[in-house]
Amino acid sequence: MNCYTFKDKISEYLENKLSINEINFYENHKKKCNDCSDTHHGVKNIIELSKNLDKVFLPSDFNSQLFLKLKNNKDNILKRNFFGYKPQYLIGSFFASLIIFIIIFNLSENKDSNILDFQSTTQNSYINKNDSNLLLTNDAIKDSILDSIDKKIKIDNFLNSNAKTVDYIP
Amino acid sequence: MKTKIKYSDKELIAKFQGGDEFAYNELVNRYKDKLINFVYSYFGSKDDAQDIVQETFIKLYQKKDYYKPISEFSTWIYTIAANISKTELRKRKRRKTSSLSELGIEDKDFDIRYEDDTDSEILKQFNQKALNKAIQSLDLPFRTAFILRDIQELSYDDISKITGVPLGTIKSRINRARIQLQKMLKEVYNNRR
Repeated sequence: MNCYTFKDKISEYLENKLSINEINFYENHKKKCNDCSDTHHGVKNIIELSKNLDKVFLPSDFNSQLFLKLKNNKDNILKRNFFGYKPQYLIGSFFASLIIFIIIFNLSENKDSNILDFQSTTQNSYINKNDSNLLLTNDAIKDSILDSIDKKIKIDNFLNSNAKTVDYIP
Repeated sequence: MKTKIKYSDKELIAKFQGGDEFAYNELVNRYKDKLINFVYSYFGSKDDAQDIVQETFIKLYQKKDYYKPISEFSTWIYTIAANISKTELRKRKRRKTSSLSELGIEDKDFDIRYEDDTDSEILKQFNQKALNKAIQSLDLPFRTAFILRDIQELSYDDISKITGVPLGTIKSRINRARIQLQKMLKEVYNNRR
């Protein structure tokens, strides 16, 4: 047995966990090696000393302090809650909802304004009955709507049918 | 005549999970002294240890439903205390550990004389203080294993379950911790001479 193996076995020897053969090797090495013998005695002292360390005790009012803290924790949790939700989550949800609402509102407003623009443009457009071309004063519609003859005809027919009711003042 | 029934830890925690706060109080009484000594070995300060023990019982109160009876209750509560202690140690700034060899000279709590016939009570106090300081200077894994075995006197199996470390590793750590401690204390005693 060498010193490394010996030191590895110290705790097992002191706890009576070694086999008879191992005990013999251990004790033989201890007799021959002063350093290992010192280590053996040192570890034995450590174990004894640890078992006899003075115990520490809690103060007599520990339990009452503990229950008071538990009660305070409960009260704090109730105060922090708002309709069962923590304020930070409630505020976060509110702002998230607001942002979503604004986005949806903006999208629907744009759609409506496009329709309104179209209607106001047709009202303001100048149409020559004898001319198949339509002159439209609204720039927003100019570039997009009239790119096909079908569309032109449809608008022409629409305007002719409403000619009496619509005032074409450019 | 009323006979007091002694419930096991598992029975008490089950009653507490069912809403019986007297069961919780009984568990606190059973474990508070064990836990204070366990945690004290980590910190060396009674006030710090008291705070940690209090926090352990608060966690027990709040997380009672997390306990499942597949493991022993003692294993569970020691695990909570060990985890809180480790977290607290990590949070703290590492203090420069005082040299153990200076303990006999600079330690103001004791008036150490260098004769061999030092009063036995003073010597005992000195040894205990030296050992406590040495324990706190161990690396955390070794410290935990040593405290649970040699101070709390738990079995190797329980320590393995509390720490989540294999049995062989626990045995090795305890052995190495003991060898380190005896080396540290040897220096202290040598410096006294």
